[in-house]
Amino acid sequence: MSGGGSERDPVERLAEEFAQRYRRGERPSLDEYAARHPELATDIRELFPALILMEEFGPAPGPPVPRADGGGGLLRRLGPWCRRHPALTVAAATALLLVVAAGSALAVLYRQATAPEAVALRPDEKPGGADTASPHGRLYRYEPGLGFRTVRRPRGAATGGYGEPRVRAALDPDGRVLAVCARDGVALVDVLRGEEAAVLRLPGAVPLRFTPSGALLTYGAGGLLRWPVVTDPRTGRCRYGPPLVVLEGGSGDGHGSSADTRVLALPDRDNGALVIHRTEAGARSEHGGPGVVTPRKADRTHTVAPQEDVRQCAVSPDGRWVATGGHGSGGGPGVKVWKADSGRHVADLPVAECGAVLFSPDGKWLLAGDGSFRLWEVGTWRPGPSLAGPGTGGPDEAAFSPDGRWLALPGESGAIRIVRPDTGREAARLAAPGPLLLQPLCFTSGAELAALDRDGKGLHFLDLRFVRDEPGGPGPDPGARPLEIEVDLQSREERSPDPGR
Amino acid sequence: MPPSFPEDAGAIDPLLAAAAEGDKAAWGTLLDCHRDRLRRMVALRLDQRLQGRIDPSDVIQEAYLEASVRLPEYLRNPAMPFFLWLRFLTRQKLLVLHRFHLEAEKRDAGREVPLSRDARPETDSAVLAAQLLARQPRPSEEALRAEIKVRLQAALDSMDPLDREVLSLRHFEQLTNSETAQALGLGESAASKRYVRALRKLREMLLGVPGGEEFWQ
Repeated sequence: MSGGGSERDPVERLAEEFAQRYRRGERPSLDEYAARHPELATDIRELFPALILMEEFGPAPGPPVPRADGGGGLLRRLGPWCRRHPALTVAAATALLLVVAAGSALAVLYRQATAPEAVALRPDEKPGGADTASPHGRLYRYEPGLGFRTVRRPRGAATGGYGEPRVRAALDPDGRVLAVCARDGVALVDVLRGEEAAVLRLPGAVPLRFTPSGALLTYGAGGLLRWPVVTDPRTGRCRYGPPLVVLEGGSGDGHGSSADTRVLALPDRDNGALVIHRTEAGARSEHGGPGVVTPRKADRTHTVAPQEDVRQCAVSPDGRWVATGGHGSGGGPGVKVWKADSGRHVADLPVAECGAVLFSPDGKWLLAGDGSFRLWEVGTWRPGPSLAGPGTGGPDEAAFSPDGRWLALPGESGAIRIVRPDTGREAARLAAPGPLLLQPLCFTSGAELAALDRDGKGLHFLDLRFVRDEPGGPGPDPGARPLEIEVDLQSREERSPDPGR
Repeated sequence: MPPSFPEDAGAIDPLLAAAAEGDKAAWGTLLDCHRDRLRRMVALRLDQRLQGRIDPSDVIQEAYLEASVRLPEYLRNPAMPFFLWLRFLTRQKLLVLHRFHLEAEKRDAGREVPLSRDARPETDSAVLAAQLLARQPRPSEEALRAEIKVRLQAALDSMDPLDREVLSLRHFEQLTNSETAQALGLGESAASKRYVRALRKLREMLLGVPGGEEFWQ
């Protein structure tokens, strides 16, 4: 065991002594300790009341917890696997809680401005909840094990929320940095610590994908950019930028990329879509006019067409297929599939209008939809399992887990549906406590799902361990060493040799 | 009078030596001086569904029986302080009881936490909530205490599990910093800093809820 006594925090040493005296019934005063240790007086006055609270309300063997006669059914049920995890975590830090005893029942009331809710311990010892604001009196069950943490934007900056202008995010290969759209640019969020580490201040930019080497591709404002990252192995500090212009112009419509970022697909509205096969870095970009895409000379490009008003593109992870979602009103198939290398049209998918086009990371499925999502098997383009259930989100609002085994879809009433793509079976519905309307954003490499709330544009992480029933990657660690990120915004043309990490 | 841990920790070794020689009185004294803290641990960790069905004293008694059998083994290789060893045996008994009585949770890895460096925190907010709510204040204090409890519960709910565990070990189980460090596989320095940080976070969370500042005053 490392760590000598001399390295202990002096406040902690005093706290231990204070607690031991408190337990002996001495009731030492804060003033006494502050006078004895004036150099620690501030800490003593700030922290020791919390210590007293813990001591005062510590557990003591007592009678069993009263059980409620809650009554009523439950509209939301998860699978029996959840029963293994009896932990109840309701993120109610913002709620004012009152405990009321009602006969033998114990009810915990959540008093919130917009959606008063009641949560009661039911006879089956499962916590249930009633949305008393609903005219239908809907009942919920807060499923155990649902951890919920929120990342807030730094105070004092006119930064707005997350998810603007698009609900898009990308996770770096290490699983530590989540790039999220924000009003003032692309925010880089430290997944482990749950805090924003830096912003690529380029309003209107949208994260596309991290390259395997950790560089970030963005599109939208400034064109298609690559943000190389260099990490100082000595300090761990990393620097993103300066951004290298891969393509001038372009738009903020949904771009697609293969896993290695060598094959890109860009919506080109009524011209169909532009497919770019990137070479190794080496060519310089050419400058085009506003809105004109001008790929580098060494890149091989071709157009896939015809299709009306293409707004969404996706590229299969292996770079073989391109799917395009049209937004036209011609009544034709909303989604088309093309061979990426030749541009040959291979399938029409009967989606009424432009919807999500998203390949699963394992390359097995293509998700497409225009409000109600459907799966197609990649290669055969036959319809996959039904994803029965309401889908109320826009085209961007779906996410596959990195292994492709789970799919998060927007559900009714702001809940998120977690579905197994191979069977279509719904594994869970995740509802935030309170009135938040959630939309899925991105699975982390740990066992969490990043989600946005539609109104507040807050970024939340939902614990999925109880759903996935597998260890997953590293969980949240607020004690992890903070990420130190510098951003160099000075744009340059892409050049050779590759300066990326 | 039995030594009260941890102040009289120095008295433990002679008692252990005597117990190893077969001194039953010394052995009984050793066990008695740890009983209260072990009861706290059992009360904290016992699934609320088993409250009323399992007496914490029985759990401790079973652990003590096993300790009697395994004492020579422990003395040959005392890898951890005596109290932590007793706590480990008691925790193991508790896990066995949980498995037996809560068949559906047989494979709940989250509750089967080894005392190792990789151990995950094992105090979940439901357990804490149950313990907090289980105390019965006098009627005249009920309203105020109820509000404090739920605020504290809400704050603990929102905390990082490891921070929550550190606070639980320090205040609910009344472990010292050294014992907390060993229980969590941390260095003493790290455990010390983690505790102060957890205390600070708890304060911030209590301040952060609506009306928190007035409440704190």
